[in-house]
Amino acid sequence: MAEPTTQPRVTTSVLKVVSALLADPSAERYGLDLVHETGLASGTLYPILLRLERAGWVATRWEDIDPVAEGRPSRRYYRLTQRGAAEARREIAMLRQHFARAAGEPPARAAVRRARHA
Amino acid sequence: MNAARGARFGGVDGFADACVRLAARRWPPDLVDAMAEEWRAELAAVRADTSLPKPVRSWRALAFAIGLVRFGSVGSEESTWDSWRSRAARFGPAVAGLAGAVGVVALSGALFGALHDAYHRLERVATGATGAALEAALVLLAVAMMAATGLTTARRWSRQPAGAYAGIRAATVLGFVMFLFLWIGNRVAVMPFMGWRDVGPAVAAWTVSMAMTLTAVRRLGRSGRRGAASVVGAFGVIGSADVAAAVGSLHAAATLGVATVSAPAWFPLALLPAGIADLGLSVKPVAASASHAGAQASAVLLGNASAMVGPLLLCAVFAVAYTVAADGVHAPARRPAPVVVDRRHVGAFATWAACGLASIATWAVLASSGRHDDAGSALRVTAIAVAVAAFVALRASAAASVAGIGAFATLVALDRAVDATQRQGLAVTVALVAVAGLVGYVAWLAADRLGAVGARADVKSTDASPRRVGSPGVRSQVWLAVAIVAALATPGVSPAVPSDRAETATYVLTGLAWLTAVTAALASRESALRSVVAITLIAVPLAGALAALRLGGTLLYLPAPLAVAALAAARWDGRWRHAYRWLVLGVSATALGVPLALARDGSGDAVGMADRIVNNSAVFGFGFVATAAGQIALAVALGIVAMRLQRGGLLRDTPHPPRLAAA
Repeated sequence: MAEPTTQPRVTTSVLKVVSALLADPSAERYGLDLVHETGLASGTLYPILLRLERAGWVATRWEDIDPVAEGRPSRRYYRLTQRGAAEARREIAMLRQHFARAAGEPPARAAVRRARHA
Repeated sequence: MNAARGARFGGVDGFADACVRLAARRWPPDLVDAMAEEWRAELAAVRADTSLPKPVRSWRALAFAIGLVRFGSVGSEESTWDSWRSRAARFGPAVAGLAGAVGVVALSGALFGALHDAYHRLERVATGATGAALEAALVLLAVAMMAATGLTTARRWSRQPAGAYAGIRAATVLGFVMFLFLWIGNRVAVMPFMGWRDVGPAVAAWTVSMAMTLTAVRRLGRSGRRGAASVVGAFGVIGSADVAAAVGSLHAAATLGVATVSAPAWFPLALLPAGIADLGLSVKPVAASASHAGAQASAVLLGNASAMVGPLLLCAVFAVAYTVAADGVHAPARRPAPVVVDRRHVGAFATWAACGLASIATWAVLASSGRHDDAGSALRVTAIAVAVAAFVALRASAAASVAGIGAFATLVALDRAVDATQRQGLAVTVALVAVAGLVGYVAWLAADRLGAVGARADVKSTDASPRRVGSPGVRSQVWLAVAIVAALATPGVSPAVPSDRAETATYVLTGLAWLTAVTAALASRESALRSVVAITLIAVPLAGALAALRLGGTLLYLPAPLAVAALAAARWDGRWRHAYRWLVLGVSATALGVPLALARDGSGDAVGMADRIVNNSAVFGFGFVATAAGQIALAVALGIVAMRLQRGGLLRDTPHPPRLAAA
C-alpha cells in the first residue's frame, strides 16, 4: 500500500470499526467477521477499511493458501497498525470526554491531555 | 482463486455473485479485481460454513452481497437509508443532465438549420467546385463550433465522472431527446421520410453506436490516453452518423426503389452538394410527397438522410468533445507498462510440431492429388502458410517472421513447380513431405538461433525503463502493430495482383499477410500459449479456406476476418471480456473488403451502382478506399486505432493476482 495519505474522518461508523479492531489489536480480522461484530452493512464496512488502510491505521494481508487445493479464494485479513491503535485510542478517549462533558460530568483534563499526546 | 472464481451458482447464490460483480465495478479501476476477489472469498466462506443450515447460509451470503450493492463504493461509507429529502436531492443532477441534453440537441438543430439555410444561399452565388468547397467549409465550421462548445462546457462545468455506465446513460438521454426533436418537433415533415419508422431506427442505431463510442472514449480518457480517446471519438462520430443514415433511410430506400447495397455510402454521399451524388436510378416521381414529384430518387434519399443525420452528427461531436475533456480533467496517472521477462516460449513443442506436420501432410496430399484448379491452389497455399506458422511459432520472435516468410516463399515456389509439371502419386507426396519438413526444420532453426539473440537482449533490458525505444514493451507493441496492419491489409493486397492467375496470386498474398500477422502477434506475446489455442490458430485458416471455396464470390471478405481470428487466438489472454476488441477489429477488417468485393463483382445492377458511388465519391476522396493503396492506408490508420484500444488490456497476457501488500 502507498504511503499514508490523509487523516481519516472519524465518524460513528469508523469508531465502531476501530473499536472492534482494538478489542485485540494484534489479531487479524477478515471483513465478514467485522461485519458481524460491528453490525455495519458490508457496503459500509469496506470503504471504511480502505480509508483506514490508506491512512496507515490498518494493514492488510492476503491469506496464504492454495485456492485450488482449498477450493475457495484467499481471504484478506485486516489488523491495526501501531500508529492506528494509538490514534484510535486517542480518538475514543476524546470522544468519551465530549460525551462526559455533554452529560454534565467534570472534565478530566489529565485524561484529555494524555489522549492528545498519545 | 481462479478455480473458485470460475464456479457457477444458480438461484440465490448466482444473484449474490452478480451483486458482488456489480458492486466491484463501482470501485476505482485499480481496486475492482481485488475487492471482487475479497468478497468472493467471504461468500465462499459463508457458503462453506456447515454449522449452519443451507437456507441460513444462502441468506447471509445474500445479505452480505446486497449490502455491498446497497451502499458500497468509496465515499459512501456514511450512507444510510435515504430520507425522501435526500432522495429528492438526487434529482438535481438528473434534471440538470436532462436540461443539458435538451440544450445540446436544440443547439445542434439550430446550427444545422443555419447550415441548411446557408447552403441554399450559397447555391445562388457560388456553384461548382467553389460552391462545394464553401459548403464543406461550412460543415467543418459547424463541427468545430460544436466541438469547442463541448470542450468549454466540460472544462467549466464538468463533474467527477460517475459510474461505469455514464457513457451509456449520456447516449440514451441524448438519443431520447433527439428522437423527440426529430419526430415530434417535425410533425409537419420538412422531408418526406421523417416519420417514426425513419427517425426511430435512425436514432436507436445512433444511440447504440454512441453509447459504445462514449464508453470507449471514457475508458481511454480515464486511463490518461486522451489522444487515443480523441481518435476513437472521431471514428465513433462518423460511424454513428453512417449507421444512423443507413438504418434511418431503409424505409425511404424501399419506397424509392434504391437498392440497400449502397447503404454504407449514403452518409458520405449526403454530405456532397446536391446534384453530384448519383445512385444510378432513373428519374421517377416520389409518391411520398407531391412536392417532390419528378425529383430524382437518389436526391430525395440523400437529402432526407442529410436532414435526419445532420443534427445527430453535430450532437455526437459535442458529446465526444465533452467526454474527452471531462475525463481528461479527472484522469488518473497513466498505468506503467508491464515488464517483460522472457517471451521466447509460446507453446508446447509437441503441439506445434504436430500441427506443422499435419499441415505439411495436407499440402503434400493436395499437391500430388492432381487438383490444379484455383480451389486446389487456395487450399495448398493456406496449408503452406499454416505449416510454416506452426514451425516458426516454436520460437516466436522477430526472426521467426523473417524465417517464416522465407520458408513460405520456398514452399510456394515448390508448389508452383509441382503444379506446372502436374506430377502425381505416392512418391511425389512422400518427397514433398520430406522437402517441406526439411524447409520447416531449417526455418525453425533460423528462428531459434536468431530469436535467441533477441530474447537475451530482452532479458537484459527488463530492469531499465520499459518504455524506451527497443525495450520489450515497445517492441511488443511494434510487433502487435505489424500483426494488426498485416491482418487489416489482407483485402488491400488482393487487387494488386496481376490479372494472369489473379486468384492464385491472391491466395499467395493473403497467405503471406496471414503468416505475417500470426508470427508478429506471437512475437509480441509475453506468455505461453495454451495448446488448444495453438490448435485453433492452425485450424481456423484451414476451415476458412474451405468455407471460402464454397462461398466463391465473397472470397474477398474472408481473408481479413480470418487473419483477425488468428491474431485473436495468438494474442488470447483468457479474458472473454476483451473479446469485443477483436470483434471490432474483425468487423473493421471485413468492412474494408466490401468496396473491393462490390467493385469486383462482374455483373448486375449493383456493379453499376458501386461504380457510380466510387466515381462520385472519388471527387471528395471517398473512392480512395476502393483502391489497394487506399485500403492499405486505411488499414494502417485502423491499426493505429486498434493498437490504442489493445494496449490497455491485451498486452497484459498474464493476469496479475490482485494482491495488496501490507501497509
